[in-house]
Amino acid sequence: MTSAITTRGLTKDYGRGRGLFGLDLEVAEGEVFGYLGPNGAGKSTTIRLLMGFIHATVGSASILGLDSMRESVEVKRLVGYIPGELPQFGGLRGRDIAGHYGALHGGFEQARVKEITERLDLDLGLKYRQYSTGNKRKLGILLAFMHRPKLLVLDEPSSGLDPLNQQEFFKLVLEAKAAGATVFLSSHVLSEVEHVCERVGIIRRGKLVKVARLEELHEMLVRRVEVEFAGDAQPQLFAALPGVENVESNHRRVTFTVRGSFEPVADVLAGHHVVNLASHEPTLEETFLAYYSDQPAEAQA
Amino acid sequence: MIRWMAWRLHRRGLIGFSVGGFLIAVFYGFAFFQAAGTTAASQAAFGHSIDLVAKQFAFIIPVPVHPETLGGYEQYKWLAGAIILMMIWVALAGVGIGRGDEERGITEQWIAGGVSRARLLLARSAAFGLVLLVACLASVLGIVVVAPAVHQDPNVAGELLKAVSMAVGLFTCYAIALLISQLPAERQTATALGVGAPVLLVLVNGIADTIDSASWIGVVSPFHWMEKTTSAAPGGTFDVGATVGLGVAAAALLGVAIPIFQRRDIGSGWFTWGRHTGAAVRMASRNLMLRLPFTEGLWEQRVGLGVWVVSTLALGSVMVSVTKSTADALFSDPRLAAVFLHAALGPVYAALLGFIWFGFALLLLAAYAVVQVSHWAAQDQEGRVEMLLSAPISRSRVIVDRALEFAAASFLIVAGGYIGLVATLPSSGLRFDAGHVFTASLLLWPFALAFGGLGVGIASRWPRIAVPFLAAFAVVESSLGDLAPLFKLPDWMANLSVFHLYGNPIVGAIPWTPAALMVLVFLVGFGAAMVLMQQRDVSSA
Repeated sequence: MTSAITTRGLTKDYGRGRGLFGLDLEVAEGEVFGYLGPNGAGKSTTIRLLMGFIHATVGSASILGLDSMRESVEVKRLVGYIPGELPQFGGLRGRDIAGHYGALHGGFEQARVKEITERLDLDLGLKYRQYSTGNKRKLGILLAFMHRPKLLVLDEPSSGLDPLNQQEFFKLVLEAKAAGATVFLSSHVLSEVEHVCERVGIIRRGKLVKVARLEELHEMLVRRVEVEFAGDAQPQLFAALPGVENVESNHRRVTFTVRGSFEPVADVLAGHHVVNLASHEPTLEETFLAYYSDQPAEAQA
Repeated sequence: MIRWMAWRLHRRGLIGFSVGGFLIAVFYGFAFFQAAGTTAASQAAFGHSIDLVAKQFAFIIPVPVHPETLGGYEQYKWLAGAIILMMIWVALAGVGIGRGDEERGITEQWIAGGVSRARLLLARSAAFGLVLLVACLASVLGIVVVAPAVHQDPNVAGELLKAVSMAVGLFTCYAIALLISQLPAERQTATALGVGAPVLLVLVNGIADTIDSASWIGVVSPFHWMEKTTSAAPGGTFDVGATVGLGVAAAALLGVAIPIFQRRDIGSGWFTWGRHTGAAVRMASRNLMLRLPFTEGLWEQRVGLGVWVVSTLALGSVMVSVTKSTADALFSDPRLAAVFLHAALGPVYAALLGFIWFGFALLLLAAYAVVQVSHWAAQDQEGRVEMLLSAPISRSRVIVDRALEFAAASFLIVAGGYIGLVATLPSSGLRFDAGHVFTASLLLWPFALAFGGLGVGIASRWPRIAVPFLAAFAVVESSLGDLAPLFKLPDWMANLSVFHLYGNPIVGAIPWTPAALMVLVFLVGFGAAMVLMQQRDVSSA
């Protein structure tokens, strides 16, 4: 399978340890790749380098076999892009913005525009400054998807969308994949990308620390679980289960952490009268800290 | 809170106008010393020559009071101009406080924090008033400081009273812009009207000052009342009634603006026309103007550009109308007529039209270039350039489209001025060679292009400093012709000015070489912009 995105030692050094350092990455054609990292990790810097907005300090990036900087115009013919934050379009109406960017991409089908706006319930008659945060995000989605690009580069695309529209957006991503498109999707929340991604890359402090299939990532996850029993707490039920740690109890409540599969815990709970069960997904930063807490400093960087 | 607002939200304007105003006042002080000399006789002769020339510009700048003194000279040469420059600043501040804060989400944050709308508007206005007063004081302080060095009376009390009069008058302009900004649905319209209103009031005052039969309309203009205080000149007057009246007017305008602000929705104007209330639109626009970046740019600024074109047309028309009355006033005094006939380099009416209209049109076009560069810089910082580059558009193409957009827009403005001119000439009682009028008007275009070229060169690489750089450049360039002889600067330095390159083509031969040079400046500016744009990182972050 050929690569849609290839980077070799891609570096953007802003000084004082900020930027992106030595990124080696391959994203296959037709793949949906999640690019995860906490705020300020270097996700948007990577995307700006891929899009040719900023110059690499060293290294190279190619998109569908084209150099992202030297052949920038050819690259953009093949790419749909959602920035982390849409710019101010002021008094332009949604239909004007869509018409303008559609025309710049060489034309568009009104049927496609109609389909996406209906699915996202986006009114193109409003002026940009009248749009809510969610509607601005929907407009960004329309601009990226309306010309059916071969590669979608999406910077935190679902942030600000309500759950229903998030689901519609994930459907659009999966449809694009089914049509043969590649999707590079950044986020700082794992649950946002796990619906659609096959592989994820995790970036921290400007360095790619892990590329894994989604199942592997689930093995890394550490969930914090709270169980409230109808009767007295029974912490001894969990202490010996694989992956369970930090068991604590208080009256009828037991709390513990689970690394990896949740299945053994579910099996135990099945035979008891449980009145409340809560599982908290950790933030990506907490996951990193938990996962790398026993790794040498070199690996943590 | 007020001091924090004043510093935090107006610090650039405060520093720019205070430091700039102070330094320019000092600069003109030394210019006075160079030109007027140190003896009473030489200063009297210098003052007399200023008096003679000043009548030509009475439409824009009030006639001088005691120009043979430092205070009188500065009041005429610097403070009158400072009022016009500051007028643009205060109008933009009025619109910014009235609507811009809402666009940036600041207003919502303050209101959510428990600040009432009335208190918010009053606090913001008080903060800006304080900043304005400091800026006005800094300008006159420059005169006070330089006076001993050029052997003149500092006239401290008079200068301070002049600063108070300026601050109160300009605050009235601010209140006008603030009130107007509350009304339209669109912020762009609010900006155009909020800035346009004080400009119109300058015109009204100019007409009142120039045409006797229309002098009564001057009462509606704050500039009419500001002119009544002439205390910067020794022996001048401080008009208490006019200043208090301006203060009362400003308070009344604020008193109307506050209840409107309380009743309207945040993010909307008092009037809500143009709102989309029908069924949801699911189709993208097929408007042909949106096909290309430069036509989209023209489409997007169509309201603002329309205001520029119509304003230039109206100004051209009005200034032709006042040329005849100015000339008549000038020639009614045989001594003035003799001086002017000696100074004019061709037909006298044409020379006067060159001074009154074409000189002013150059300033207008330089101002338009600054506004357009400000627009590009804002687009850059807001991520519009990044978004444009996400389409199959090269960086060079971004610059080419800027060049085309600027060329088309500036051509329309020049054409507006020309239409205003030729439409009014037959009824003005003036007769000109049609070819000269056409050529002189057409040559305004390469002048505008030269400024645009310089602006885009800076904006493509350093968008954050492009506006102050180009504005400062325009001020220096426009003053170079005046200052070079005063400071005995070499000819080549004076000839560097783009204003000098334009010359006065309505009275002389067509300056093809300077016109070609201006086009060359445009091409070099845009060429440099292409190179610089390739090298930089484009990012809204």
